[in-house]
Amino acid sequence: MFSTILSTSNSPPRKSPAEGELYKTLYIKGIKFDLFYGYYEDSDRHFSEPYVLYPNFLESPVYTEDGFPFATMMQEACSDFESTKNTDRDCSQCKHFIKCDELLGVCMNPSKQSVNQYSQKE
Amino acid sequence: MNYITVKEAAEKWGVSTRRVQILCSQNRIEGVTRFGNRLMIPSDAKYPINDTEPVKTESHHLPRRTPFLCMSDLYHTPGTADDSIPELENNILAQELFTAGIAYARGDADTVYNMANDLLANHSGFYSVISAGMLLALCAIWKGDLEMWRRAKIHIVSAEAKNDMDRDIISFAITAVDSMLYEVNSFPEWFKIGCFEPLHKDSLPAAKVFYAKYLYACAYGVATKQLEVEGVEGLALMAMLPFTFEPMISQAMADNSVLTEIYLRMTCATVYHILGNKEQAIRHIDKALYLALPDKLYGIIAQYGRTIYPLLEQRISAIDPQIWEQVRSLYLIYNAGWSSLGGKVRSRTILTTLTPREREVARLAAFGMQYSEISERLHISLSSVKQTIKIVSEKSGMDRKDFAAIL
Repeated sequence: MFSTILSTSNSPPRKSPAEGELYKTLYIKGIKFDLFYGYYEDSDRHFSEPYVLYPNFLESPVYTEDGFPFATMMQEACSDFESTKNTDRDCSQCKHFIKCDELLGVCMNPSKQSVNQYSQKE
Repeated sequence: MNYITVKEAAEKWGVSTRRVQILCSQNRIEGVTRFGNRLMIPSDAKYPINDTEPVKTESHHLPRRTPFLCMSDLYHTPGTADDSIPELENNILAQELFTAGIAYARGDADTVYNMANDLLANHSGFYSVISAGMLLALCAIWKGDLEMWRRAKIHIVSAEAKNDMDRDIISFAITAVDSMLYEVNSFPEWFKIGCFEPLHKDSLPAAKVFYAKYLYACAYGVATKQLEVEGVEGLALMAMLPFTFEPMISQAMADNSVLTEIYLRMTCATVYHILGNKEQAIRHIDKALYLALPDKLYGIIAQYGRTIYPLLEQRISAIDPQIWEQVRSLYLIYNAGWSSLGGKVRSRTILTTLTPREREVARLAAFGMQYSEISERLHISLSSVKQTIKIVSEKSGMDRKDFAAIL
């Protein structure tokens, strides 16, 4: 009986999202992002509900209309990382990062602005 | 086979005769036998190691034990708390901790506060820091001091953990202090199922006390609809608790763990009171008073004024009205502090908005574990760890290094 205590919370039990289910659609600087539930790796399947999967912009860069790259807050910082805080080296802590919605944002570092703009249109 | 007396063994091992007697009663010395009324110990018997080697005066570290010293080996007989302190004369640090533990049981928050700060200032060992942090947190409850509470928990999670066992002890220590405020959500998963394997055996008496409090908090939450458990409502969960508590109390009696038994009986009395079983509630209260009053452990009794005030007043006043006045005074102080701190903590806690996985990751991050270590520990991907930490940061408004404050 007390194993049920493991699942207690202060809010009513919520239905677990299914893998592949749409979490949210974001529109950021004219770019549409569909965020789905899923797993980053197979190992994640065993111990948790699906996560909201964010794009890997390091592998597949996406740019704003004026050529600045999108980044996630947890994305590993690049060599241009600048922060006044003694904290983690991820994009969210960099002074160039502008948070937009959920865990997505844009890197406004002028040196990162792409001459060859690439954007995902709706 | 040659035998030596208890006194000779005590001299040989550099401990007190009382200590040797306790070890004999716990069957921890091989080959002990009785000749008439005298305990005789084989002359070649070894002092039980098990991480409890006798500590000499030059040591600045506790024996490898937990912060819950006064709940385990040393305090077996009501009325002997003060006598037990000199037995630790070979270890000033352990003596201070035991003294502080008894002061807390007596409701002497000022002494506990001063001793905790002295410990933190003068000792940096792992157990010293955790012990002092826990004492400070418990003191914060009495004083209703949120900043003291946060500072105490940060001390605990900042203790230098060298391995997973150390981290589990930190986790347990945080759990223990949270349980005093009935914060259910912060417990590690292994604790929730009553698994105490990560803990040193010396922690077990205290672990049982906190586990009982945890179960009570859950049952109370269900009964008051603050918690939802599928298929369980009202007092159904509460009604199951005696089936768990009574065996735990029996074990505490068998172990001669005075403080453990007091706490368990008072918690069990509370449960019976809620269930309307006055006879059983009084049975446990009377027995707890029998154990607590000789050493004036009024602080422990006072804490339960929040739940069984009328019964305590009835039983203690019948013994001695003056003792009841002292308990009542302590209850008023404790209740004010508990209510104040509990309200402050719950009003700002973000724990209720975190998923179990987020809480677990946040906890490990608060311990200073790196992403890769958390990934390995929880068997999830590095990407998942990073994202989860970022989510917790967003929800709490805090950086990873400050997660201890939200635990």
